[in-house]
Amino acid sequence: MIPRKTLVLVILVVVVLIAGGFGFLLLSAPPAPEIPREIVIGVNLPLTGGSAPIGLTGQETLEIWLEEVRAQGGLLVKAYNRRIPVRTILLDDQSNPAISAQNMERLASEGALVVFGPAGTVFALSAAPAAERLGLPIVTVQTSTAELTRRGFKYVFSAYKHFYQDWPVLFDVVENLIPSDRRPRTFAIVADNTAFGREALVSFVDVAKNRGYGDRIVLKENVTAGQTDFTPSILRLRTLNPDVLVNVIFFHSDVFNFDRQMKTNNYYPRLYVGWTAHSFISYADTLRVDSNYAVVTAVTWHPALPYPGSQEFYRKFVAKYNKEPGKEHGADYAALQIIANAIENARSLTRESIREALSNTKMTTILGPVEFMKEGSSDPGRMIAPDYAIQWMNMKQVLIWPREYATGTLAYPAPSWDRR
Amino acid sequence: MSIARPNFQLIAALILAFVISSAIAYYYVVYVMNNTSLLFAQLVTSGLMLGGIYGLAATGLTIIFGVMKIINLAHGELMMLGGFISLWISTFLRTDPLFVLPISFVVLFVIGVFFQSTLFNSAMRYGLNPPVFLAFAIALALQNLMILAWTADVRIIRSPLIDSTVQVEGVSIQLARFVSFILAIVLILLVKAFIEKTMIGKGLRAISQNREAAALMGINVSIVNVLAYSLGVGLAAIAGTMLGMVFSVSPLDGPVLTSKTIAIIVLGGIGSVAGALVGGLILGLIETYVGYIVGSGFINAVALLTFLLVLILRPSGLFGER
Repeated sequence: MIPRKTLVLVILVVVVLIAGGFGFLLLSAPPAPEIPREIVIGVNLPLTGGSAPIGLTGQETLEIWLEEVRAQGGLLVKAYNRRIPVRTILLDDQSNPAISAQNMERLASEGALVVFGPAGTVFALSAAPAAERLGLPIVTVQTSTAELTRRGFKYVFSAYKHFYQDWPVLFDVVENLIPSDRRPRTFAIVADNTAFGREALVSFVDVAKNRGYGDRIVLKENVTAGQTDFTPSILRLRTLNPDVLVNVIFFHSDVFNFDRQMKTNNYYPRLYVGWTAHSFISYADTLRVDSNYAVVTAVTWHPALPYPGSQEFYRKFVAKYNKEPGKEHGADYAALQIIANAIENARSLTRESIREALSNTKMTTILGPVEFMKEGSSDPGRMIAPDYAIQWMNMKQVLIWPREYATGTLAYPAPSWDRR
Repeated sequence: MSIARPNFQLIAALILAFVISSAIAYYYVVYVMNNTSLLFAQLVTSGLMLGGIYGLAATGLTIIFGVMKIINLAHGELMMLGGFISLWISTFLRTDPLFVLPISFVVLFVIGVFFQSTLFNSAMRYGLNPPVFLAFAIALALQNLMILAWTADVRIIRSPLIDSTVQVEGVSIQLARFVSFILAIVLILLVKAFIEKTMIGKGLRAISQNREAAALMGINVSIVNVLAYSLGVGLAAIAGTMLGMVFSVSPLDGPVLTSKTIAIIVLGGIGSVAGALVGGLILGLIETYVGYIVGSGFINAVALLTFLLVLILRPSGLFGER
């Protein structure tokens, strides 16, 4: 039998120990994480100079996205379970690759956690090493070159697919939308002599070979960027008369000149596939009815797509700018959705956590389901997303591929100019 | 500023070069590509029409250089500005852009007076380099101002009167190109007559030949500079409008146009008005022949080789003063 006094003493000791233990735990526990007052997102786009058109689409889209985020009171960061306001630092790279890289330093020093941009291949290639060195994640847009993501960067993400992912859609369209007895037999490609154009041409030939069309390419022409007059190339095309002409000229003014001069020289192929300016709304604004029948494969977005937010974005854009958004606006918006998703799901608001969250992206954007290729793959950080094809008809983009989302059928062969 | 004197040896050499290059093009079209001589005719026509537009674009630049001895690095941007102003005025007045050419000429002439009297005249006191840097600064400023005013989008200036293509014996001719070609010849003849027949023109020539002597003879160098620069800028408005009809206008196309027009005036002879047309025609034909025979990727290489060859054999250009 334990004496009563001893029992009371033991109980008191136990109580004191427990209380002391709790007290120690309370005192030694780490302080609750400080919640950041704002999320700083860097924006690095060409807003002036030769590539301003692609940067300005990014800026237009960014404004819509920011309005949405501000209306909600910021982004809902799960790590803190609360909404945190977003502040952006917008820098113009002036269409100068060196400035694009310099902008990364400035954005890093001003506390950006992640960067939207650069837009355009040459600027992204220049800024990527700086992003890697600074440990600042970037989500680039409108960068189709494989070179960007084949260098094994950890902090570089491209919210755009590269040529090797996109070209198969052209052959899907040819093989699925045209009856076998009328199917095109010969192909020609005209690209410019920029890094973009050269990779486009090489990758097209590679993919054509893989799809069994390697010996059907009758002309591979590298024109000079800024050439203005493309009559000689068009007369060569008129002589060789390929069924399909693929135009991968980078600068929009060159594309408009090329297409106008096709009409001047009374030439139009049975299937005309464009890539750059052809997908922009300004293509029809500029060429009007002459834009009809041009086909664009590798379309990233179309307002008719049934994905959440797609039609809402379309409506907001039209209401704000009184013009229709193009696929490039859709791609920019998806890039911002991806950034928002990474911030909201990051373990904390640090660059490393956001990089980690970006690499784990698996979500549905207005482009459809997207994710990035993982480290160890051929193109880490490159987006995987669906591709679509459109054809310009009555100066509107008609979605023709894939069939399940199509809003119209492919008009093939395109009539000659005098029959329109 | 020089007036081309007939140099029969040079003219014979140019005609011979044209005949030989055309014979090569003909052989390639008919015997290598198995096409008809019609396509060859199309090539020659396209080359000449393109050359006419180049000549028109280079005329204003050569006048400015002839008198002021500076390369106007803003020439391309001024052409684009002229194109945009024509587009804007013709849209506002709801009239054909061809009819607003005189208005655009006057608007850019006034802008030229402003630039020259406020900026260039003072910059020129410090030598020949500051005005060139100034022109470069103006080019950058104009490019960004045009983006602000009209966005960076590419625009086509549509003239209902000449926005079509005619077939002549199976050869396609874009009317806008043809009008540009004729306009280039007419304007060059007018400028030539102005320089040769008027007192102001004589003043322009006097200053271009010997600035100090002309000043000692009582010619007001500053005013003549203003006139030369404004005339060159006014002509850029006409060239820019026609370029917009044939090709397109964009605030971003200025640098390419500037470099191309510099190549043309060096080829034709810096300061020579007729040389601008001849240089333009040579470049137009070279680009068209080379583009068809060798491929468009080689156009610039061959054009620059020709440019270097002319510089080596005749550094003052084909019609420039030795």
